[in-house]
Amino acid sequence: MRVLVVEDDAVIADFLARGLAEAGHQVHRSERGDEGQFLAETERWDALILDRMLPGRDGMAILDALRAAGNDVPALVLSSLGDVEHRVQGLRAGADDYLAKPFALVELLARLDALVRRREGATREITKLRVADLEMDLLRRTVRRGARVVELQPREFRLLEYLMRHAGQVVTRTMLLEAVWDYHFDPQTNVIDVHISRLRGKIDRGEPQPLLQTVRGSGYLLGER
Amino acid sequence: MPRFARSTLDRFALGYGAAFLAAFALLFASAQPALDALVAHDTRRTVEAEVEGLREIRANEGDAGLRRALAQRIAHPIDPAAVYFLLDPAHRLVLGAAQRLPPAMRWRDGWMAWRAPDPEGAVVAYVQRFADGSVLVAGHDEREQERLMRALALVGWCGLALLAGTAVLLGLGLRRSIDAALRGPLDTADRVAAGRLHERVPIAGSDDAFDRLGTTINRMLDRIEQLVDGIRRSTDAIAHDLRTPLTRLRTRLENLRDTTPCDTASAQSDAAIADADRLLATFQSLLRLARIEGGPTPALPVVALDGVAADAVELWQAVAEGAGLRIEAVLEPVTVAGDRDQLFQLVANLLDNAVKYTPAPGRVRVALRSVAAGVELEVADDGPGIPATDRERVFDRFVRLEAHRGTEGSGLGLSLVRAIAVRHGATIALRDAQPGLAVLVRFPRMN
Repeated sequence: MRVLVVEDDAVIADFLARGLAEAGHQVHRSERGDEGQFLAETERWDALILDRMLPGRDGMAILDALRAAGNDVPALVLSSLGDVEHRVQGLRAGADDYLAKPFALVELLARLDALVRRREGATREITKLRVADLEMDLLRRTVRRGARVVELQPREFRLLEYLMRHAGQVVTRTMLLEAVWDYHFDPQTNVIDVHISRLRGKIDRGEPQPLLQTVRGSGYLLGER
Repeated sequence: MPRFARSTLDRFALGYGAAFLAAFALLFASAQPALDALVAHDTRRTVEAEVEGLREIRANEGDAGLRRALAQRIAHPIDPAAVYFLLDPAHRLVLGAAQRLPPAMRWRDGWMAWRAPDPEGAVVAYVQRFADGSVLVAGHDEREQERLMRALALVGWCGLALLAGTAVLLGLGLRRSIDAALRGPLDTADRVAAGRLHERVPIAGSDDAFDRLGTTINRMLDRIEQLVDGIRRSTDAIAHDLRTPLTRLRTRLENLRDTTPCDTASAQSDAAIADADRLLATFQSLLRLARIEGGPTPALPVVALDGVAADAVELWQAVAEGAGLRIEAVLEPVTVAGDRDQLFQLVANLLDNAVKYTPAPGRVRVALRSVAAGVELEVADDGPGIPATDRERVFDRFVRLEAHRGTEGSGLGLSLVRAIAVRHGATIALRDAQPGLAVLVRFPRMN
């Protein structure tokens, strides 16, 4: 992916650039808001990573301008202001996702992939999701693994749906909490793990190919190994 | 000391009243004899003038003239209080009312006083003996004077009573107005103590002692708010500044693990990364706590608390079952003014604790009900509970009870619960569920 990073903190910009490059993306950097906006408007990008506090032009202002001009390039906003209020503000202003600094690179990469994928998926009407021999019918709300029907509780269904929509990508616990449970909070213990284990039990037990994997230190991934 | 006189204000009012009364009594007590003396003096002057007149009549017209004058005065007195007697040389009564004389009388020259038997009253008289032995007595009945003094005394007592009543009313009124004037500062202080740091005492603008009190208290509150803000900002700064190197550390460890093919090294890096994650989670919670405690209170939207609680229960249901516990939820549909994410965090932390500290087979009860004061959330377990002596402490940061050392957690769970409760104007109480612990969070009624 061609990614534009607009960030004035050199350490973070370096960190980001290196991480994104290692993940296989093409990275272009800018340290100033006005320059960043110019680049965003004049070239084609697959994704933007914008810091809020920038010299020249504020990150949120750049986003406002882009959206007002009809440019809906996927944008992830980075900020030291990590309050839920600021996050909501950022999302309302047109950001696709909002991440507080400092962040784990893994989290950023996962979210970047997720938001680009979301955009791609949104243009097509999907009624079925498929990963290897796991099939989910979104209209009938049924799940099958091969010939076997998998019985899922409503919450488990939503959990699997999210994982399938982001198949092949790392999905962090925070992302799951926000997307499947719709809460932004800090779990003191890993409650999500238990739900994942149950889901894994339902879809992977007895199967030659386990699909629901735990990525140590990051989150989960649904896909063929 | 009787109950009503125990306060400083009451004592002040009493003292004030007593001083007033004492002053009045003193005034009166000194006025009365003075008045008495004045009237007595006046009487004597009158009597002297009479005697002088009568002496002259005797000198000019002789004894017969005197008798005529006396008889006239006795029959038609100008002054009804005047008293006259004429006695012969043998001291037998010639003229005058005998009933006004006491039974035995020894006449001496000059001023004499006695109490007449009929009608009862004091008499003051001048005795004039003449050369031929006859005695003239001219005097004044003191009845009027006595009546005057009695009336005066009555006035004095009535005045005293009236004054006492006024003093009491004044005292009460004074106390009430002081109470009212102090209500402003006291109410403000209460609200600030409950967590609303922005409250200030209303100033009436009259620049009196109460306004000065209010202004001084406001200055103090400004300082407190400044300090609290300062603490919050420095906690924020510390956590923020420490998160960055921690995150870098974690990233390096990840790189190490990913680039080192050795299994043992990999396992070690995993453990180190897990440690770093725990530290980062603690910082995250600390920052969240600082933000919730120190932040301004924005207008909060309406949240269906039963939905939030149900979601939390659902999330923890799996964990509970894995630990051999049952979660029972009885949730009434209730709404509160609040922040949905924070309320979820509150219920989640309470559930987390209950599930963590209750041994299997056990039960966790979650109840949500509407009560008179508002909305009540109860999370109860049948685990070991918290001893009464520790129930205040557990809400402080990083407190882990001895019995729980070694279990997972940062020690910030209940601190967050308290901060969120305060932010929502709710109260928390810890009860012995016999067995186990019951946590009750009471949210105020929405208006």
